[in-house]
Amino acid sequence: MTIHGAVFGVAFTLAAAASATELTPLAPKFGPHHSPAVGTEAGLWMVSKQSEEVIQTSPRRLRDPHVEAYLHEVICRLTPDYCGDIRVYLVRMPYFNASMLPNGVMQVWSGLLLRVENEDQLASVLGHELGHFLRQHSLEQFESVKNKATLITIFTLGLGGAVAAGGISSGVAQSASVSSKIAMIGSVMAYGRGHESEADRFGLQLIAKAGYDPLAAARVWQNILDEDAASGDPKKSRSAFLASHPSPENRIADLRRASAALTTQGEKKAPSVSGRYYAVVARVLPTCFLDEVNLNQPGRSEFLFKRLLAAGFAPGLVNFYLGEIERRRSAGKLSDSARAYYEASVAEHDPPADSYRELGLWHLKAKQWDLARARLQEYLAAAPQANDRKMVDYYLQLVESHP
Amino acid sequence: MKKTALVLLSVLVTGCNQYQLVEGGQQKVGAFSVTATPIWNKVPSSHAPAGLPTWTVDGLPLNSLMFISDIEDGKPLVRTDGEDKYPSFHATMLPNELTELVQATCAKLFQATITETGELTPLTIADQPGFEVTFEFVGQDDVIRRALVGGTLKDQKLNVMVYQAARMHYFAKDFESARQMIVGANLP
Repeated sequence: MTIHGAVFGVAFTLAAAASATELTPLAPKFGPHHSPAVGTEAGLWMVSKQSEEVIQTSPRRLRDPHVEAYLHEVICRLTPDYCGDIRVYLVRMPYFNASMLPNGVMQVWSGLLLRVENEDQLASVLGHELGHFLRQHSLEQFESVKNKATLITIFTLGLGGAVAAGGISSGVAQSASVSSKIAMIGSVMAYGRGHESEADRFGLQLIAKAGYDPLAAARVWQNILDEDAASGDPKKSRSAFLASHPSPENRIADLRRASAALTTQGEKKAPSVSGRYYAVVARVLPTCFLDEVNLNQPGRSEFLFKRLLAAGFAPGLVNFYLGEIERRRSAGKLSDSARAYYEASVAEHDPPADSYRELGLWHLKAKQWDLARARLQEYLAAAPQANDRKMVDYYLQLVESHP
Repeated sequence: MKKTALVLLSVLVTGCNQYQLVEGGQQKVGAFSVTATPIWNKVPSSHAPAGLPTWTVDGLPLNSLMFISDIEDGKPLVRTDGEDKYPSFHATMLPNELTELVQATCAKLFQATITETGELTPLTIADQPGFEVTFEFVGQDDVIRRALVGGTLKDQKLNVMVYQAARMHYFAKDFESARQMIVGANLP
């Protein structure tokens, strides 16, 4: 195994100020353009190639070239020397997770995009996964497992098709809506505490060197813990990422300590919203919002959406989905709080057309015919090609029958 | 005597677990009365999704037609065992909400993600104002499936037929047969 310390040979200028145990720089365990020809690693790469084909062709892949290119750009900023060796795929999975295969394939789940607030936080998650990759944790994990046949079987099942949800590590990953193959690919290589800590350290090195805020990593973990607390049943609903990453509370403390050592400026205040981050991922966020609401976990979703609202992201869109949560909570009854969110949505400059429709339907149910007519007409004006246009025309006919 | 009883019992049990060809013509399924084309097979309830009255042409993984009828206010479309909570129907729901209800039910039933919603249009079913809608979903096997739903309320109870099939080839293959049954369904 070649250690290419030279790639990361320039140690962090601030490392000297920190404790030696925490900040001894870690180096990648292989160089750029690495491609094993024989041995265990070559076998893992071969299987990983099949995994990549599964991900590439999966109907769950969110095929947005701009967002995938953006993710790759962040990866390249973190690891410029390995930029060409890494492929990244965005997968439509409404949970917080990302993972890497031994051959440089990264999958980022769409749920992650709702849960990071800026590029620094995104980079911290990607940096952690790059840590696993560049330190060859999957290979070490494989070599440390005594019963390799079992691991191969698990890995192959992950590629081959029907896998019982119970095979996935734990927590939300077992949810019925998770595609077993994709989830399995991301979870067969569950790392131990040592690998996780090392990936944290390596990730911190990468994001600090790339100019991102090292404290972003601790903030991500704290956000996830807060979200779990808001869900009402933290143990049951822990994110897939947490399920395979032990002791989040200790980890946050460790990350804060290491981050502080990596910067002379103390706690750098991250911007509440990264304009660039949201400008790019806004392309796929409506899908992320919809999938999140469809999970029917209103406490968790409400927490997430309110955080986005507080951060100032697309208030028209976020208020609409907060209204959707309230409407679904009301189980067919008129919900005043849903209406209030829809009203807040249409008061913004960027409301989705659906906000007008939901207001129209609210007034229709309330038999407020004039308001119903006005809102439904606004909906059709905003979305003349709407899939439910004929049904909305029918609602308008109902309205007209009640002068 | 004991042996004969056992044989009879096994024949009965086996018979209950067999697919049966649906004869062409008028058929009563739940609250629905439909005019069937003789291409469908009744799925034994032990094999059917959540025990719902279900027909198929080529087998459940490829296509099915589910009959969900007489759903009362406050009840889910699928019988539950307590733990497994499905969303409930409410008689005040508008077609947009009924679409959402059927989608959420299918998502749970087939362990799937809804990926696309197609056109939602008014449709008269059994002389009652109703709706039809199409949507797509992806299940655990990563196969893209398309669904056609037709539904209406009668006496404050929801009645829905759901035709779903693999998008590739199978949905289009029996679409007309399924839609004709939906359009021509009666609720005597």
